[in-house]
Amino acid sequence: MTEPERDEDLVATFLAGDERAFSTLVERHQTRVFNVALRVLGNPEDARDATQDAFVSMLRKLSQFRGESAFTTWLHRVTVNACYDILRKRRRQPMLRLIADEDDPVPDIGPPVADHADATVDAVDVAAALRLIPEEYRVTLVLADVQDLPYEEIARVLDVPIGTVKSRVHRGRVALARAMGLAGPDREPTSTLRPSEEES
Amino acid sequence: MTHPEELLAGFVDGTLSAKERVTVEAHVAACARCGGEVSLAAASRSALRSLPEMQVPAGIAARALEEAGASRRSAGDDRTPRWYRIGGMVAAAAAGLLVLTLVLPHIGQGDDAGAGAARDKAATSARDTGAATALAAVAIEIRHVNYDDTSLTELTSTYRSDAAGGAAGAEASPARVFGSQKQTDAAIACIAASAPKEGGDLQSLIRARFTGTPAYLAVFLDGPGAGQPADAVTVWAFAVDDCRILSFSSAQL
Repeated sequence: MTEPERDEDLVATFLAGDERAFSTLVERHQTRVFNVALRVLGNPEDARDATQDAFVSMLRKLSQFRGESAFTTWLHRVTVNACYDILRKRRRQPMLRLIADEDDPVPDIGPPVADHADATVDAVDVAAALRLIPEEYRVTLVLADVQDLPYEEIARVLDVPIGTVKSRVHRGRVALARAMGLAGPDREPTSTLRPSEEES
Repeated sequence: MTHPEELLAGFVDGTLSAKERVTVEAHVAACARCGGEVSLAAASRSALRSLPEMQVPAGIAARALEEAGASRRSAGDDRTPRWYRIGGMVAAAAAGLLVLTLVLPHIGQGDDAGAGAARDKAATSARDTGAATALAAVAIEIRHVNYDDTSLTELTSTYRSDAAGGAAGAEASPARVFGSQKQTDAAIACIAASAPKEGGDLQSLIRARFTGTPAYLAVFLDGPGAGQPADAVTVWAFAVDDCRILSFSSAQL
Protein backbone atom coordinates (compact mmCIF):
# COMPACT_ATOMS: atom_id res chain seq x y z
CA MET A 1 0.00 0.00 0.00
CA THR A 2 1.35 3.42 -0.96
CA GLU A 3 1.96 5.91 1.82
CA PRO A 4 0.06 9.17 1.34
CA GLU A 5 2.32 12.03 0.40
CA ARG A 6 3.39 14.26 3.27
CA ASP A 7 1.90 17.74 3.31
CA GLU A 8 5.34 19.28 3.12
CA ASP A 9 6.12 17.23 -0.01
CA LEU A 10 2.85 18.34 -1.60
CA VAL A 11 3.80 21.94 -0.92
CA ALA A 12 7.10 21.41 -2.70
CA THR A 13 5.34 19.67 -5.60
CA PHE A 14 2.93 22.56 -5.96
CA LEU A 15 5.69 25.13 -5.85
CA ALA A 16 7.43 23.15 -8.57
CA GLY A 17 4.40 23.72 -10.81
CA ASP A 18 1.91 20.93 -10.19
CA GLU A 19 -1.40 22.54 -9.22
CA ARG A 20 -2.94 19.15 -8.42
CA ALA A 21 -0.82 19.09 -5.28
CA PHE A 22 -2.65 22.19 -4.09
CA SER A 23 -6.00 20.50 -4.72
CA THR A 24 -4.82 17.52 -2.69
CA LEU A 25 -3.84 19.78 0.20
CA VAL A 26 -7.23 21.48 0.05
CA GLU A 27 -9.12 18.19 -0.01
CA ARG A 28 -7.06 16.86 2.86
CA HIS A 29 -7.53 19.88 5.13
CA GLN A 30 -10.78 21.59 4.16
CA THR A 31 -12.85 19.80 6.79
CA ARG A 32 -10.40 20.79 9.52
CA VAL A 33 -10.23 24.41 8.35
CA PHE A 34 -14.00 24.75 8.00
CA ASN A 35 -14.70 23.22 11.41
CA VAL A 36 -12.17 25.43 13.17
CA ALA A 37 -13.77 28.46 11.53
CA LEU A 38 -17.28 27.25 12.29
CA ARG A 39 -16.60 26.80 15.99
CA VAL A 40 -14.63 30.03 16.33
CA LEU A 41 -17.06 32.19 14.36
CA GLY A 42 -20.28 30.45 15.33
CA ASN A 43 -22.14 30.45 12.03
CA PRO A 44 -21.76 28.61 8.72
CA GLU A 45 -21.79 31.73 6.57
CA ASP A 46 -18.84 33.36 8.30
CA ALA A 47 -17.10 29.98 8.46
CA ARG A 48 -17.49 29.62 4.71
CA ASP A 49 -15.97 33.07 4.16
CA ALA A 50 -13.11 32.39 6.56
CA THR A 51 -12.39 29.04 4.91
CA GLN A 52 -12.29 30.61 1.47
CA ASP A 53 -10.03 33.39 2.76
CA ALA A 54 -7.80 30.88 4.52
CA PHE A 55 -7.23 28.83 1.39
CA VAL A 56 -6.59 31.90 -0.75
CA SER A 57 -4.16 33.11 1.91
CA MET A 58 -2.57 29.67 2.04
CA LEU A 59 -2.11 29.71 -1.73
CA ARG A 60 -0.52 33.14 -1.72
CA LYS A 61 1.77 32.41 1.21
CA LEU A 62 2.83 28.88 0.34
CA SER A 63 6.06 30.14 -1.14
CA GLN A 64 6.89 31.54 2.31
CA PHE A 65 6.33 28.19 4.00
CA ARG A 66 9.80 27.14 5.13
CA GLY A 67 8.92 23.91 6.84
CA GLU A 68 10.16 25.24 10.17
CA SER A 69 6.89 24.09 11.69
CA ALA A 70 4.54 21.35 10.58
CA PHE A 71 2.28 22.27 7.69
CA THR A 72 -0.80 21.74 9.86
CA THR A 73 0.57 24.18 12.45
CA TRP A 74 1.13 26.74 9.72
CA LEU A 75 -2.33 26.13 8.24
CA HIS A 76 -3.98 26.47 11.64
CA ARG A 77 -2.25 29.83 12.01
CA VAL A 78 -3.54 30.93 8.60
CA THR A 79 -7.03 29.74 9.53
CA VAL A 80 -7.05 31.47 12.91
CA ASN A 81 -5.88 34.69 11.26
CA ALA A 82 -8.70 34.44 8.71
CA CYS A 83 -11.14 34.03 11.60
CA TYR A 84 -9.71 37.02 13.44
CA ASP A 85 -10.07 39.12 10.26
CA ILE A 86 -13.76 38.23 10.11
CA LEU A 87 -14.21 38.94 13.81
CA ARG A 88 -12.57 42.35 13.32
CA LYS A 89 -14.88 43.13 10.40
CA ARG A 90 -17.82 42.04 12.52
CA ARG A 91 -16.80 44.44 15.28
CA ARG A 92 -16.37 47.31 12.84
CA GLN A 93 -19.73 46.74 11.19
CA PRO A 94 -22.01 45.50 13.94
CA MET A 95 -25.18 46.72 12.25
CA LEU A 96 -24.46 45.58 8.74
CA ARG A 97 -26.07 42.22 9.19
CA LEU A 98 -29.31 43.82 10.27
CA ILE A 99 -29.70 46.09 7.28
CA ALA A 100 -31.71 44.66 4.45
CA ASP A 101 -30.74 45.20 0.85
CA GLU A 102 -33.64 47.39 -0.17
CA ASP A 103 -32.97 47.04 -3.88
CA ASP A 104 -33.25 43.31 -3.85
CA PRO A 105 -35.18 42.07 -0.88
CA VAL A 106 -35.08 38.39 -0.26
CA PRO A 107 -36.91 37.53 2.90
CA ASP A 108 -35.22 34.54 4.42
CA ILE A 109 -31.77 33.13 4.87
CA GLY A 110 -31.29 29.58 3.68
CA PRO A 111 -30.93 26.72 6.08
CA PRO A 112 -27.62 26.53 7.94
CA VAL A 113 -25.37 23.55 7.57
CA ALA A 114 -27.19 20.96 9.60
CA ASP A 115 -25.80 19.23 12.61
CA HIS A 116 -25.46 15.49 12.27
CA ALA A 117 -28.71 13.81 13.05
CA ASP A 118 -27.43 12.36 16.30
CA ALA A 119 -25.80 15.58 17.51
CA THR A 120 -29.06 16.93 18.93
CA VAL A 121 -29.53 19.67 21.45
CA ASP A 122 -26.32 19.30 23.42
CA ALA A 123 -24.10 20.21 20.49
CA VAL A 124 -26.25 23.22 19.75
CA ASP A 125 -26.00 24.34 23.37
CA VAL A 126 -22.23 23.96 23.41
CA ALA A 127 -21.83 25.78 20.10
CA ALA A 128 -24.07 28.60 21.32
CA ALA A 129 -22.20 28.84 24.62
CA LEU A 130 -18.87 29.01 22.78
CA ARG A 131 -20.00 32.26 21.18
CA LEU A 132 -20.47 33.79 24.63
CA ILE A 133 -16.90 33.44 25.86
CA PRO A 134 -14.02 35.78 24.99
CA GLU A 135 -12.42 35.23 21.57
CA GLU A 136 -8.98 34.30 22.89
CA TYR A 137 -10.45 31.59 25.10
CA ARG A 138 -12.70 30.36 22.29
CA VAL A 139 -9.88 30.05 19.76
CA THR A 140 -7.67 28.25 22.25
CA LEU A 141 -10.43 25.86 23.29
CA VAL A 142 -11.32 25.04 19.69
CA LEU A 143 -7.70 24.15 18.98
CA ALA A 144 -7.29 22.20 22.22
CA ASP A 145 -10.58 20.39 22.74
CA VAL A 146 -12.19 20.31 19.28
CA GLN A 147 -9.07 19.84 17.16
CA ASP A 148 -7.16 18.05 19.92
CA LEU A 149 -3.88 19.86 19.30
CA PRO A 150 -1.13 19.56 21.93
CA TYR A 151 -0.47 22.70 23.97
CA GLU A 152 2.98 23.11 22.44
CA GLU A 153 1.48 23.23 18.96
CA ILE A 154 -1.24 25.67 20.03
CA ALA A 155 1.49 27.92 21.45
CA ARG A 156 3.20 27.88 18.04
CA VAL A 157 -0.07 28.50 16.19
CA LEU A 158 -0.98 31.47 18.37
CA ASP A 159 2.60 32.61 18.97
CA VAL A 160 2.13 32.84 22.73
CA PRO A 161 3.96 31.15 25.61
CA ILE A 162 2.78 27.67 26.51
CA GLY A 163 1.87 28.84 30.00
CA THR A 164 -0.57 31.29 28.43
CA VAL A 165 -2.12 28.46 26.41
CA LYS A 166 -2.60 26.32 29.53
CA SER A 167 -4.11 29.23 31.40
CA ARG A 168 -6.46 30.09 28.53
CA VAL A 169 -7.56 26.49 28.20
CA HIS A 170 -8.43 26.23 31.86
CA ARG A 171 -10.13 29.60 32.12
CA GLY A 172 -11.89 29.03 28.81
CA ARG A 173 -13.27 25.70 29.96
CA VAL A 174 -14.57 27.20 33.18
CA ALA A 175 -16.09 30.14 31.30
CA LEU A 176 -17.73 27.78 28.82
CA ALA A 177 -19.22 25.65 31.57
CA ARG A 178 -20.73 28.75 33.13
CA ALA A 179 -22.01 29.92 29.76
CA MET A 180 -23.72 26.54 29.46
CA GLY A 181 -25.35 27.15 32.82
CA LEU A 182 -23.37 24.52 34.70
CA ALA A 183 -22.04 26.81 37.44
CA GLY A 184 -23.91 27.68 40.60
CA PRO A 185 -25.27 31.22 40.96
CA ASP A 186 -22.97 31.99 43.88
CA ARG A 187 -19.83 32.03 41.76
CA GLU A 188 -18.53 34.94 39.81
CA PRO A 189 -18.47 33.96 36.13
CA THR A 190 -14.92 33.50 34.89
CA SER A 191 -16.09 34.71 31.48
CA THR A 192 -16.17 38.24 32.81
CA LEU A 193 -12.40 38.10 33.20
CA ARG A 194 -10.53 39.68 30.37
CA PRO A 195 -8.08 37.28 28.71
CA SER A 196 -5.31 39.83 29.19
CA GLU A 197 -5.57 39.33 32.95
CA GLU A 198 -4.36 35.76 32.66
CA GLU A 199 -0.74 36.63 31.99
CA SER A 200 -0.46 38.86 35.05
CA MET B 1 -3.20 30.15 48.89
CA THR B 2 -1.47 29.91 45.51
CA HIS B 3 -3.56 28.12 42.91
CA PRO B 4 -1.69 25.96 40.35
CA GLU B 5 -3.66 27.36 37.46
CA GLU B 6 -1.25 26.36 34.72
CA LEU B 7 -1.46 22.76 35.88
CA LEU B 8 -5.26 22.54 36.07
CA ALA B 9 -5.75 22.17 32.30
CA GLY B 10 -3.29 19.30 32.17
CA PHE B 11 -4.87 17.79 35.29
CA VAL B 12 -8.24 17.69 33.52
CA ASP B 13 -6.62 16.28 30.34
CA GLY B 14 -4.63 13.67 32.24
CA THR B 15 -1.38 14.87 30.70
CA LEU B 16 0.49 15.84 33.88
CA SER B 17 3.52 13.97 35.11
CA ALA B 18 2.97 11.76 38.16
CA LYS B 19 4.65 14.30 40.39
CA GLU B 20 2.56 17.19 39.08
CA ARG B 21 -0.62 15.14 39.42
CA VAL B 22 0.06 14.38 43.08
CA THR B 23 0.68 18.07 43.73
CA VAL B 24 -2.58 19.13 42.05
CA GLU B 25 -4.60 16.35 43.70
CA ALA B 26 -3.44 17.52 47.10
CA HIS B 27 -4.30 21.12 46.28
CA VAL B 28 -7.71 20.34 44.82
CA ALA B 29 -8.63 18.26 47.86
CA ALA B 30 -8.01 21.29 50.07
CA CYS B 31 -9.21 24.10 47.76
CA ALA B 32 -12.92 24.36 47.06
CA ARG B 33 -12.42 26.93 44.34
CA CYS B 34 -10.01 24.81 42.31
CA GLY B 35 -12.06 21.67 42.98
CA GLY B 36 -15.15 23.35 41.56
CA GLU B 37 -13.26 24.68 38.56
CA VAL B 38 -11.83 21.27 37.77
CA SER B 39 -15.34 19.81 37.68
CA LEU B 40 -16.56 22.58 35.39
CA ALA B 41 -13.52 22.30 33.13
CA ALA B 42 -13.98 18.55 32.81
CA ALA B 43 -17.61 19.04 31.81
CA SER B 44 -16.64 21.61 29.16
CA ARG B 45 -13.87 19.44 27.77
CA SER B 46 -16.26 16.52 27.45
CA ALA B 47 -18.89 18.71 25.75
CA LEU B 48 -16.40 20.17 23.28
CA ARG B 49 -15.01 16.78 22.37
CA SER B 50 -18.52 15.56 21.61
CA LEU B 51 -19.18 18.31 19.07
CA PRO B 52 -19.83 16.70 15.69
CA GLU B 53 -17.53 17.38 12.78
CA MET B 54 -19.58 19.30 10.24
CA GLN B 55 -19.69 18.58 6.57
CA VAL B 56 -17.86 21.05 4.38
CA PRO B 57 -20.10 22.98 1.95
CA ALA B 58 -19.47 22.10 -1.67
CA GLY B 59 -17.00 24.25 -3.55
CA ILE B 60 -15.75 26.00 -0.46
CA ALA B 61 -12.22 26.32 -1.82
CA ALA B 62 -13.25 27.10 -5.39
CA ARG B 63 -11.77 30.60 -5.31
CA ALA B 64 -8.36 29.37 -4.18
CA LEU B 65 -8.42 26.42 -6.57
CA GLU B 66 -9.24 28.71 -9.47
CA GLU B 67 -6.51 31.09 -8.45
CA ALA B 68 -4.08 28.19 -8.12
CA GLY B 69 -4.94 27.08 -11.64
CA ALA B 70 -4.55 30.58 -12.99
CA SER B 71 -1.20 31.07 -11.32
CA ARG B 72 0.14 27.87 -12.85
CA ARG B 73 -1.01 28.52 -16.40
CA SER B 74 1.57 29.59 -18.86
CA ALA B 75 2.08 33.29 -19.32
CA GLY B 76 1.02 33.13 -22.96
CA ASP B 77 -2.20 31.35 -22.23
CA ASP B 78 -5.37 33.21 -23.07
CA ARG B 79 -7.27 33.80 -19.84
CA THR B 80 -10.50 34.56 -21.62
CA PRO B 81 -13.04 31.93 -20.71
CA ARG B 82 -13.97 29.63 -23.53
CA TRP B 83 -17.64 30.51 -23.24
CA TYR B 84 -16.72 34.12 -23.79
CA ARG B 85 -14.75 33.43 -26.93
CA ILE B 86 -16.67 30.92 -28.93
CA GLY B 87 -18.53 31.68 -32.11
CA GLY B 88 -16.53 34.80 -32.84
CA MET B 89 -18.51 36.63 -30.22
CA VAL B 90 -15.72 38.41 -28.40
CA ALA B 91 -15.91 41.43 -30.64
CA ALA B 92 -19.64 41.61 -30.29
CA ALA B 93 -19.45 41.30 -26.52
CA ALA B 94 -16.78 43.97 -26.34
CA ALA B 95 -19.11 46.22 -28.27
CA GLY B 96 -21.69 45.77 -25.58
CA LEU B 97 -23.91 43.45 -27.48
CA LEU B 98 -23.78 40.79 -24.82
CA VAL B 99 -24.20 37.97 -27.19
CA LEU B 100 -23.67 34.49 -25.98
CA THR B 101 -23.96 31.15 -27.60
CA LEU B 102 -26.46 28.38 -27.42
CA VAL B 103 -30.09 28.26 -28.14
CA LEU B 104 -32.07 28.15 -24.95
CA PRO B 105 -35.34 26.43 -25.48
CA HIS B 106 -36.83 28.14 -22.47
CA ILE B 107 -35.33 31.58 -22.76
CA GLY B 108 -38.31 32.95 -24.65
CA GLN B 109 -40.90 31.88 -22.18
CA GLY B 110 -42.44 34.81 -20.43
CA ASP B 111 -39.46 37.05 -20.95
CA ASP B 112 -39.80 40.79 -20.96
CA ALA B 113 -38.94 43.43 -23.47
CA GLY B 114 -35.34 43.65 -22.28
CA ALA B 115 -34.72 40.02 -22.96
CA GLY B 116 -36.45 40.30 -26.31
CA ALA B 117 -34.27 43.23 -27.29
CA ALA B 118 -31.17 41.35 -26.27
CA ARG B 119 -32.27 38.38 -28.32
CA ASP B 120 -32.80 40.63 -31.33
CA LYS B 121 -29.30 41.96 -30.91
CA ALA B 122 -28.04 38.43 -30.76
CA ALA B 123 -29.77 37.54 -33.98
CA THR B 124 -28.38 40.64 -35.65
CA SER B 125 -24.95 39.83 -34.39
CA ALA B 126 -25.25 36.28 -35.59
CA ARG B 127 -25.94 37.53 -39.08
CA ASP B 128 -23.17 40.10 -38.84
CA THR B 129 -20.56 37.67 -37.65
CA GLY B 130 -21.68 34.84 -39.79
CA ALA B 131 -21.59 32.48 -36.86
CA ALA B 132 -22.84 29.12 -37.94
CA THR B 133 -24.49 28.41 -34.67
CA ALA B 134 -27.95 29.74 -34.07
CA LEU B 135 -27.64 32.27 -31.31
CA ALA B 136 -29.73 33.60 -28.52
CA ALA B 137 -28.89 36.17 -25.91
CA VAL B 138 -28.80 35.24 -22.26
CA ALA B 139 -30.74 37.89 -20.42
CA ILE B 140 -30.41 37.82 -16.68
CA GLU B 141 -33.36 36.42 -14.81
CA ILE B 142 -34.28 37.95 -11.45
CA ARG B 143 -35.27 35.46 -8.81
CA HIS B 144 -36.15 36.37 -5.25
CA VAL B 145 -34.69 33.13 -4.03
CA ASN B 146 -32.00 32.60 -1.44
CA TYR B 147 -30.07 29.55 -2.57
CA ASP B 148 -27.74 27.42 -0.51
CA ASP B 149 -25.68 24.39 -1.48
CA THR B 150 -28.65 22.09 -1.30
CA SER B 151 -30.91 24.22 -3.45
CA LEU B 152 -28.02 24.95 -5.82
CA THR B 153 -27.66 21.22 -6.35
CA GLU B 154 -31.38 20.99 -6.97
CA LEU B 155 -31.15 23.84 -9.46
CA THR B 156 -28.33 22.04 -11.24
CA SER B 157 -30.47 18.92 -11.48
CA THR B 158 -33.22 20.98 -13.04
CA TYR B 159 -30.91 22.20 -15.76
CA ARG B 160 -29.61 18.70 -16.24
CA SER B 161 -33.17 17.59 -16.93
CA ASP B 162 -33.63 20.48 -19.33
CA ALA B 163 -30.48 19.75 -21.25
CA ALA B 164 -31.10 16.04 -21.42
CA GLY B 165 -34.74 16.38 -22.37
CA GLY B 166 -34.37 19.35 -24.65
CA ALA B 167 -37.32 21.01 -23.00
CA ALA B 168 -37.90 23.72 -20.50
CA GLY B 169 -38.74 21.20 -17.78
CA ALA B 170 -39.03 22.41 -14.24
CA GLU B 171 -37.53 25.77 -15.10
CA ALA B 172 -40.56 26.75 -17.14
CA SER B 173 -42.62 29.33 -15.34
CA PRO B 174 -45.05 31.94 -16.57
CA ALA B 175 -43.87 34.36 -13.88
CA ARG B 176 -40.22 34.68 -14.85
CA VAL B 177 -38.81 38.19 -14.62
CA PHE B 178 -35.76 39.35 -16.52
CA GLY B 179 -33.41 42.16 -15.66
CA SER B 180 -32.34 45.10 -17.73
CA GLN B 181 -29.57 45.18 -20.26
CA LYS B 182 -27.45 47.05 -17.73
CA GLN B 183 -27.94 44.33 -15.13
CA THR B 184 -27.08 41.68 -17.70
CA ASP B 185 -23.97 43.67 -18.65
CA ALA B 186 -22.82 43.81 -15.07
CA ALA B 187 -23.33 40.09 -14.57
CA ILE B 188 -21.48 39.20 -17.76
CA ALA B 189 -18.53 41.39 -16.77
CA CYS B 190 -18.46 39.80 -13.33
CA ILE B 191 -18.58 36.27 -14.64
CA ALA B 192 -16.01 37.01 -17.33
CA ALA B 193 -13.66 38.11 -14.56
CA SER B 194 -14.18 35.14 -12.30
CA ALA B 195 -15.55 32.18 -14.23
CA PRO B 196 -13.21 29.27 -14.72
CA LYS B 197 -11.57 29.39 -18.08
CA GLU B 198 -12.88 26.00 -19.09
CA GLY B 199 -16.30 26.66 -17.65
CA GLY B 200 -18.15 25.61 -20.78
CA ASP B 201 -20.92 27.41 -22.63
CA LEU B 202 -23.11 29.83 -20.76
CA GLN B 203 -26.68 28.69 -20.81
CA SER B 204 -28.46 30.87 -18.34
CA LEU B 205 -27.93 33.75 -15.92
CA ILE B 206 -29.80 34.38 -12.71
CA ARG B 207 -29.67 37.21 -10.17
CA ALA B 208 -30.60 35.87 -6.74
CA ARG B 209 -28.92 35.34 -3.40
CA PHE B 210 -26.65 32.64 -2.13
CA THR B 211 -26.79 32.09 1.63
CA GLY B 212 -27.90 35.68 1.98
CA THR B 213 -25.27 37.22 -0.29
CA PRO B 214 -26.49 38.91 -3.49
CA ALA B 215 -25.28 36.58 -6.21
CA TYR B 216 -25.15 35.85 -9.90
CA LEU B 217 -25.81 32.24 -10.78
CA ALA B 218 -24.29 31.20 -14.08
CA VAL B 219 -25.33 27.93 -15.69
CA PHE B 220 -22.75 26.36 -17.98
CA LEU B 221 -22.94 23.35 -20.23
CA ASP B 222 -19.66 21.68 -20.97
CA GLY B 223 -18.57 18.83 -23.15
CA PRO B 224 -15.54 17.20 -24.69
CA GLY B 225 -15.48 19.72 -27.55
CA ALA B 226 -14.92 18.91 -31.22
CA GLY B 227 -18.60 19.19 -31.92
CA GLN B 228 -19.52 16.61 -29.31
CA PRO B 229 -22.64 17.30 -27.26
CA ALA B 230 -22.38 18.68 -23.75
CA ASP B 231 -22.04 16.05 -21.06
CA ALA B 232 -22.07 18.14 -17.89
CA VAL B 233 -23.88 21.09 -16.39
CA THR B 234 -22.37 23.34 -13.75
CA VAL B 235 -24.00 26.17 -11.86
CA TRP B 236 -21.60 28.73 -10.38
CA ALA B 237 -22.56 31.31 -7.79
CA PHE B 238 -20.64 34.61 -7.86
CA ALA B 239 -20.92 37.43 -5.34
CA VAL B 240 -22.43 40.53 -6.90
CA ASP B 241 -20.22 42.87 -4.88
CA ASP B 242 -16.79 41.52 -5.82
CA CYS B 243 -17.44 38.67 -8.27
CA ARG B 244 -15.81 36.10 -6.00
CA ILE B 245 -16.91 32.52 -6.41
CA LEU B 246 -19.32 31.62 -3.62
CA SER B 247 -20.01 28.04 -4.59
CA PHE B 248 -20.77 25.73 -7.48
CA SER B 249 -22.59 22.55 -8.22
CA SER B 250 -21.99 20.18 -11.10
CA ALA B 251 -23.81 17.20 -12.58
CA GLN B 252 -23.24 14.82 -15.47
CA LEU B 253 -25.89 14.82 -18.16
